[in-house]
Amino acid sequence: MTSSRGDARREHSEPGRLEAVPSVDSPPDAEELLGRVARGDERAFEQLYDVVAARVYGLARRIVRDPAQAEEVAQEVLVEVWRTASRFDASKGSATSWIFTIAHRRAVDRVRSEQAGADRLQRVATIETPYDDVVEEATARLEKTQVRRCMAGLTELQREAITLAYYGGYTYREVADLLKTGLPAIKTRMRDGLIRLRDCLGVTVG
Amino acid sequence: MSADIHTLAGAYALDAVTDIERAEFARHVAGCESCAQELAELRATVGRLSDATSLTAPPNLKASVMAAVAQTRQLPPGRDPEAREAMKRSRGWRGWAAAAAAAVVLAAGGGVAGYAISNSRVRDAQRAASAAEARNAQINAVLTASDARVHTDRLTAGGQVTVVVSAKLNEGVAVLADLPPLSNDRVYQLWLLYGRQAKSVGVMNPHVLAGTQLFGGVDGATTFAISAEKAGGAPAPTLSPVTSVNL
Repeated sequence: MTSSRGDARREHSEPGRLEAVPSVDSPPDAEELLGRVARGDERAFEQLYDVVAARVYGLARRIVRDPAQAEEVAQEVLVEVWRTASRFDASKGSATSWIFTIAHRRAVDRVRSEQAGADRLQRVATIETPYDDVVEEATARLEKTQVRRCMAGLTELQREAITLAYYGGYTYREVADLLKTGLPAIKTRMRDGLIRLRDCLGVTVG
Repeated sequence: MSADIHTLAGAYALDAVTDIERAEFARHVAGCESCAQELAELRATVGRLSDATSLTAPPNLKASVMAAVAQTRQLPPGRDPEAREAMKRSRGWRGWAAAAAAAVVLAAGGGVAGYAISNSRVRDAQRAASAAEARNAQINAVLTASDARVHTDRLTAGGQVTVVVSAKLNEGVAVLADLPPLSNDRVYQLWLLYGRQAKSVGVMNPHVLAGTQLFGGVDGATTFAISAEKAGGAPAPTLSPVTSVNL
């Protein structure tokens, strides 16, 4: 009412209806931001940071555990996003999917290099509290989201295999060891489980 | 292998594969449109899993990221195949260690032995690390070669051997994992067989049961084999091989 712009908007909305307002639910479009980042726009990068940082950091923290290292990983990932923004290929998936792929891989690289080689294998072989902890913690967090509902729709083996690989950073061979299941079965469960998740979450690409 | 490789899509999307499998699968996807579509969808699905672990980032992270960004030159547009990504990630000792570890590898070569003692003998280790880096670049070149062929064999006594061969480069890479332990005086020795002729392409140190070995002279070789020999190795395989892989 105090500005002509407000009046103009009011004219367009029907009486008694709530107006659509920009909300936290519709953050700036990550694709568009990434496109601007690729052209060197630091302000766009700052906005992109606000959209993805919590998930990048949270994922690093979940996988690496140590807060200081997780912060390092998150920083590496975000700077990598800036550095390689021009290489993002929209035909291969969304901007956020691209960013979280980088984030996951970096975090996993970090844990695998920390626990290199035979040492890690031994650790896996003799691990004491193998996966309950991982599954439970991840599941607790999942409660808040749609992801949880869809995860609940998986078979137990599908869910455990995906949880260990994604949140635990284990290779499918290690997952097979932990779950005492054959390699072909684990590979199949991971793929089938993801396909079921994809359908449940309504993920589409292209 | 190629029928089998497709089932790796889930594990690949979850990053639950070794660097070799990653390179192999990326090659597979490059020549398979429906696979590329499936992979894009599975990756997007996997991306959603990070919704569940969202956590407020430390307050100083943004400032340090922005400061780093201000000093970081961006890459020009261009294709960024997995292969180049793998090369980039393997550069430097940390990347090198990551690549090696991801392949679940403790290599038998001299450069790698140097790496293992890096804490106590820094200068030697630095020299070794640059050797390892060069060696690792060569290994990556084989793994990502357009004509690379991958052969995998699981030993009945346990363990797995993966041999990747590029005819174009005339080089191969063997990745050994979880080989069964040998009695004290025995070590694993790696061979290329040309018909009835055998050439040693590496002798592993005692008690080493996993490793990565780069070798040349692939041209004309019919078989890759591993035998258990006396420490230091033998001029020719003395016992029947632990495993052999037809190339």
